[in-house]
Amino acid sequence: MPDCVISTDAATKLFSGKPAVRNVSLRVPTGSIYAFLGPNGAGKSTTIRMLLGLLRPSCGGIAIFGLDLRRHRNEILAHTGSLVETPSVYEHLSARENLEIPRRILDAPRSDIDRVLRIVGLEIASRKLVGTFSLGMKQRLGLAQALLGKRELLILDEPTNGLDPAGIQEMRSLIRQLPAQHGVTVFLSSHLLTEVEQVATHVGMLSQGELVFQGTIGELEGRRRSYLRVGVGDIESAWALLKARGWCVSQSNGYLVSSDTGAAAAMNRTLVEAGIAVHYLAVESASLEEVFLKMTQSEVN
Amino acid sequence: MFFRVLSGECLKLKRTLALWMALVSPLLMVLLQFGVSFKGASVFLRDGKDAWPPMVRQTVEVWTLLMMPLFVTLETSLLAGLENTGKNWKSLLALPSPRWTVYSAKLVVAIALLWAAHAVLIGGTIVSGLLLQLLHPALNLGNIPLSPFIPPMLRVSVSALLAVAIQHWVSLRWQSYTAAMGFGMCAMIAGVFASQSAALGSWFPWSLPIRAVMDGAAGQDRITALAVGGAIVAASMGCWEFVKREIA
Repeated sequence: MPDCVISTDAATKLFSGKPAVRNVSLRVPTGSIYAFLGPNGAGKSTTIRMLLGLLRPSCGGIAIFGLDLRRHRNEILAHTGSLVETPSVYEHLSARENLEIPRRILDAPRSDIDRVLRIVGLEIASRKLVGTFSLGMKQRLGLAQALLGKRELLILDEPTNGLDPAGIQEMRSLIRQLPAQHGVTVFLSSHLLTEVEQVATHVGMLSQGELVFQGTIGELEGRRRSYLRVGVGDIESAWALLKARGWCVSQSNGYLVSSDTGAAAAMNRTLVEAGIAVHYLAVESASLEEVFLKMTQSEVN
Repeated sequence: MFFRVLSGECLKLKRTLALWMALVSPLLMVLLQFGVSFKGASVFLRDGKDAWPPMVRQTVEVWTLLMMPLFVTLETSLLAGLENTGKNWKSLLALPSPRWTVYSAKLVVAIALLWAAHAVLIGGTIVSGLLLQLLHPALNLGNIPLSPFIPPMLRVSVSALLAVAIQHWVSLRWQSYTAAMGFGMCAMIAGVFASQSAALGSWFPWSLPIRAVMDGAAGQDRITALAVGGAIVAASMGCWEFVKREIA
């Protein structure tokens, strides 16, 4: 098994000459939960469709399990389960019958259906028609389809889309257990970092079709910048005073904000001596969500 | 792999209108024929002659001219609709089966459903004839005439292959149900008109089954060659386009 399950080499996809995805070079380590993040329209689904062979890259290459996707599509897909956006199900069939179709194609043993139904917790509803299922149940059935057979990689496109908070929590705990308990590498996309930061080990951020960050969650944490937040009585006077003294400050949500965290005491003294009441003073760090938004929005802007 | 995909396609038919249609459409035809024969028997009374031949001829002609083209259009649209309505293509084509197996398995199912409908039509007509023998002796129905019935239906079954292959391609090409239905209806009407001309009707895909009935066994070799050859070409072209298609 190579170190990277997915490895793309400047993968690019053009639609009518316009790039939807540009020079994306992903490295998804074996055994990781890789969160592929980006705002809506960033190119996540296009990238995922390329990884599944549904779209052909306009240029660049894609290797999965160390094999070229163009030449070894079926071999790769035999070990790759997927759930792309809304789950694809046949509503006139039962959950078990829905799983029987891919099972036959994968030539997996019949007992595999029971195994995946157990994993996603749909054993009791397995003989019910899928048309009667809630969206959460359909999503779990989609995940069960993706887990059928000997899957070593799961590609999940926005797996929590449309789910209620309980459903999101359920899906999250299902995903979290996959690498350890089933030896599966998970590649999942989302437009919300908060949704995946609790489960992901690695992160790739896409903005306007380009990969703007790729690394471990720890490396992303390293991008979190600390800043000084100051709450004062008269914000305009305080801001003018600190600017006049040469500090770089800005106003944000009724607070003064400065990247100069070492100047907390000096700023406090200056403000107090000038008769401006200071009611809040703290060094804070940007949340991962803020880092994500800054990275993706700065590209957009 | 092809047979694994095919068995999956067969499973998808469970509880579908597509499967019911293969039973209901020919039985509706049989029921109408039975009603006409029973209540309006004078149509088939020919001075004490056996009423089987005109009854059978009418069944074959009405089926070929009207019911079958509608059936083909609906069946292929419903089969494609299984994937189109649930946006199921992306998961189906992300499975490790070559795309040609998916296209051809669906085509085989469409052809099998048509032939199953023909089997039901033949069986149903025979049963209704036996019932009429009991209920309406004036029709003077003799032995079941297999020769004016089975060979024409076999000719129709084969000569419809080209239309099925084209309609299958159209249904899978455009996700809109309306596009496939519109195409099929227009082709059906054009087929009826084209079949009136020996020259045009011998070439137009939707006229071939009608000509196969009208011309009898005489022109069958050419019609069979055209229908089977054309179906192979249409299926190959459709399959090629399907394999190359991008699923956005």
